[in-house]
Amino acid sequence: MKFSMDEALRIKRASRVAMTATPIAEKLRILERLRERDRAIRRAVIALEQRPTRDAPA
Amino acid sequence: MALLDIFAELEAAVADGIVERYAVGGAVGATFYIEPAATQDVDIFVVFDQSASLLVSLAPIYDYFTKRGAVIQNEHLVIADWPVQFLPATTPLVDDALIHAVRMSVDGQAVAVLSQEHLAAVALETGRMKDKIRLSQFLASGTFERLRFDALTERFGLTAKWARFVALMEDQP
Repeated sequence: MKFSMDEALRIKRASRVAMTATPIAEKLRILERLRERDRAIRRAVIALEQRPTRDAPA
Repeated sequence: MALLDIFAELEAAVADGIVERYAVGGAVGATFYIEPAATQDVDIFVVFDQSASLLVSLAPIYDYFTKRGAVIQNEHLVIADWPVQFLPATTPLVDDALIHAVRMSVDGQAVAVLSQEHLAAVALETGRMKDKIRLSQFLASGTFERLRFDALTERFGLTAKWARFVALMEDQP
């Protein structure tokens, strides 16, 4: 398989153009889903940080 | 959609005379024109009657929305589960942006949004890395009016910042 940076950039640009042209209501829904995903990741990280470790004093 | 509930609350605040004008800015405003970028809050630029005081106070806005169920959380008001930040128009550029805000409709809900050329100029003025990324996306969008943006950068003293941004972009592939 050959890798072409020009082709990768072209595909990225095309994807951005398509996303820009997406109806506004759909883009706002995507924004809400992005925020939900971020919040879920943050909650998971906090839960992980607060989990007692084996070395922690009893 | 929670964002539509926020837009409805903003329209109610105008109808009830709490704010004279408002417009959605920041990442949520930019989403009306370019691809969505994750954000944790909603930036709302506002003009309201400050005749009673020389100091800019957001107290009337906070009072209004908390009576309607919003909750104060640090510098934000949480409306429809989103932290919303109200930003008074304190610079000539933002003043102009609010005068030229664009009325839109999303799923039947009216909302005022900064024009993309004003959003781009505000991003240039603010100048954080995420603002520069947003500005480059505006420039690449097919609907961006470059002449209008150039006029804004000249009118609001942003030509030096624009020159630095162009130099930065010239180094990119």
